[in-house]
Amino acid sequence: MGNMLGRLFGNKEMRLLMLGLDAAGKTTILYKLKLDQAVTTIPTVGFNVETIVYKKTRFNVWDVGGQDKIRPLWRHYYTGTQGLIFVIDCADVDRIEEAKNELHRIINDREMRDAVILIFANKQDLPDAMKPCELQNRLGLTNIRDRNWFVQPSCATRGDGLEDGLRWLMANQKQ
Amino acid sequence: MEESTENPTDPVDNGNHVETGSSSSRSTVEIDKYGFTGGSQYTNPEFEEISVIKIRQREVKWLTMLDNWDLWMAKKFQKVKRRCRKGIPSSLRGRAWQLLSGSNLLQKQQVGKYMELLQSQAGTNTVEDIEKDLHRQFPFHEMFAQRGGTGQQDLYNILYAYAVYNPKDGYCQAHAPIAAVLLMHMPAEEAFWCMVAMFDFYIPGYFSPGLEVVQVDGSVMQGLLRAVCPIIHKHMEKHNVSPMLYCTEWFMCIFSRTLPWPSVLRL
Repeated sequence: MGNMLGRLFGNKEMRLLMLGLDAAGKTTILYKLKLDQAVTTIPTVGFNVETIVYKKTRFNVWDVGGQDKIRPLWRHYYTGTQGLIFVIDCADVDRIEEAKNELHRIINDREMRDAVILIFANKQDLPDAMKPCELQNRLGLTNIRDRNWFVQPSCATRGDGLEDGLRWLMANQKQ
Repeated sequence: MEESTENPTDPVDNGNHVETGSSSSRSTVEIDKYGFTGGSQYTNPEFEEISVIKIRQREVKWLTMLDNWDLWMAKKFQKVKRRCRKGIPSSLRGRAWQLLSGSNLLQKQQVGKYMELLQSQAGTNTVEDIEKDLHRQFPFHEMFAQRGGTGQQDLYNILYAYAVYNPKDGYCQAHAPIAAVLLMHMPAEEAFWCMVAMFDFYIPGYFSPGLEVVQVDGSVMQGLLRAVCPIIHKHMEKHNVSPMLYCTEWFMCIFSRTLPWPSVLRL
């Protein structure tokens, strides 16, 4: 019923799953979007979920803990995902290969085949942060042509780039 | 039901490949949506129970419910029950299990207890007994496929902690598959408390020496069978098959090894 009313008034809903290595800034992004505040976060064990309303679209954003030990639990959040937000700490060059492996594992999963892919190239405020085009290459995205993906530079604490990301997701949502 | 562990990931080549990433020892295999690569728990990917849209709707309903859990349990318990029977969305299953079993409260009351248990001394043979079983729990699941991997380490830890927590019963082999199912859905400490809650509140005495409670339930099962399905009951009796022959594994592992996987998760 809510859905029908929503459609009548042009409101849309989108289920987003936000993943990435630990300390990439996922929870910070979530609460910056929700509360417009830079909150101090603790490592997420389990998940946070918030509904963010932006330009008439209700985004249900699932933020799931990224520590390697709890990554096997990611799978439970795949079903029904319309957009994947994968967050990268661009200053953490040492773990970029690990991030790449995780990303490819997620997007190749059957349950995620319909999801559009947004990469937040996060922590752009830090010196030596990788730039989006370098990141795109190092994540092995450049050769992926059968999926809809986009790399968005961001700084979660300041909020830079976050709304641009949501706008891209809205514009590219599969019907 | 015991599976050979020597070759847990036989690659099935049907063109739909998945990188298994960080654990380089594994090659490319197709993983089902529950994390299994094969074995009797494997669910055919074509098997779709409910539509994606339905799942999203259920998720939203469950989220409101989880946010006001006490109120729902007090005022609308029947509705909670109905929704459980329809199936808990997989994203919320871990959290829902913790609330349903009351393990979240146990954990809050005894902060630090889990770590303390891990550092305590268990009864003799406990370590060896648990280690013997570690690699034999769901070897076809991505979490437990790797010998000595984090999945098996966590499994060892929570089984050990429970053996210390309840020295009277100690470690029982039936603990392991249950613990493994819990670990597939939540971090180790949460899984430990969930195990405590289940064993102490729902099936107390199930694992005590002598297994009397299980035997009592076996007779109950026999009575039920006689009442509900007398033909089968007669047939079983003719061949001298008592419920204890087939029920023990069902009951003690709470069906975790017996039923198709989507059904296990709904129990």
